[in-house]
Amino acid sequence: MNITTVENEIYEFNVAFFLKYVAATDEFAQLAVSHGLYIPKENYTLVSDFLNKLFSHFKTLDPKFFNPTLKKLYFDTVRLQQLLLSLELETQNPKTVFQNRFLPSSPSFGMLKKEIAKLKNRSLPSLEEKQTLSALVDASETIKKIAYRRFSALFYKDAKYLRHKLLEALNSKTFYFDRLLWIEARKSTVLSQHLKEIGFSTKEYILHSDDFLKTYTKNKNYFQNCLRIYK
Amino acid sequence: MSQLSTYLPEDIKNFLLVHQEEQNSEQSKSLKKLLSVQDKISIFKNINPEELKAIVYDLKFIRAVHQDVIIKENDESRDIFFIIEGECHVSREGNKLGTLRPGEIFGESGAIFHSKRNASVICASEEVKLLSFKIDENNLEFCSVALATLYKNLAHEINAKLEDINYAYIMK
Repeated sequence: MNITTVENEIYEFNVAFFLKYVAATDEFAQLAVSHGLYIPKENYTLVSDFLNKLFSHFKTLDPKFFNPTLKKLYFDTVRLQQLLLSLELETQNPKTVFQNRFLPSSPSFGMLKKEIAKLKNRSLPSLEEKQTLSALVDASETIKKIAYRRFSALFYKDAKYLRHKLLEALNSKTFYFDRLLWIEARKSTVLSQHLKEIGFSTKEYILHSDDFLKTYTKNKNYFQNCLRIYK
Repeated sequence: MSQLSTYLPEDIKNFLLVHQEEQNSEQSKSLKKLLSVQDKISIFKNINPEELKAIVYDLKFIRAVHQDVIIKENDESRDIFFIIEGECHVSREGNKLGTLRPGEIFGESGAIFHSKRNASVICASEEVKLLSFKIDENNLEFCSVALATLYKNLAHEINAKLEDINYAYIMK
């Protein structure tokens, strides 16, 4: 067994492990590049949940309130949030991933395990076989330690990069969702009537909500943070 | 493997509509206002304007007159002030500690360490023009470089203040 082979196995494992996240970030990257989508510097991901609720609220007020792009953006923001949560859960303990998923899938460690098992199962092992077994067990532990260092370095790097890329995708799509929601709301007669006194922007809607929710400190802080996005 | 929606030409038209609306939005106006002063303010140097807009909030131009209290000792606030014109006196428990002049900043320790104001700042000239703002760390994920640069610039300003204090102490 050599470390280069193990490194290749680690690389291939990571590619497979992060496949669904890479697919989502690649899809967004292609869309952003080909159509010049804007990725804001403000953290719109903060208002994602609020906007999703608002979208449902608007649909309740006006059952005809429908725009295919808005629906796609709604679906994508929910999907991206799910992916972010799943990435966080799947990557919070690299040691467990290494032990429970990488090692059983590694051909190199599989072969080593077989060798050790074969020697252990000998009924009357010779002194030489006993020494070989002991050396193999020691070598296996040493290689595992080296492999884990390489594994965790790559795993952390990939997880951090993908988290950032997923957040960028969520941020951009939330931004478009936010702006398009209000463009469409203005087109609806029912919503125009409803929003006449409040205003046609998330900022004005939050200020309106903040007014009647001010006793709930948690919501108050959340809304204050959201408002900073809109300056 | 398609996990996200497929966007058609009609969807792209909607995105372009958003871009058009954005050109005339309040945010663009706020960015223009910020850009008009960015070059004049040392702590904003070397920061991408788009990111600068995201990391500061409550940006205000303030005009104070003689004896106006700009910062009150022990108050809690997160504003950082930059003197554009005029002078201010710094005092603690009634004792004058020093004078702040154009180009200097104050209030940064309250903003960075979220601590109570450790001194009062009072307008010493007939009139003082100031710029105040707060730092927004909510956008750290997308503006880490800008925030790091802002804090580095603030550290530079604090260091300059300390050097002045040291110099004054040696000269005594």
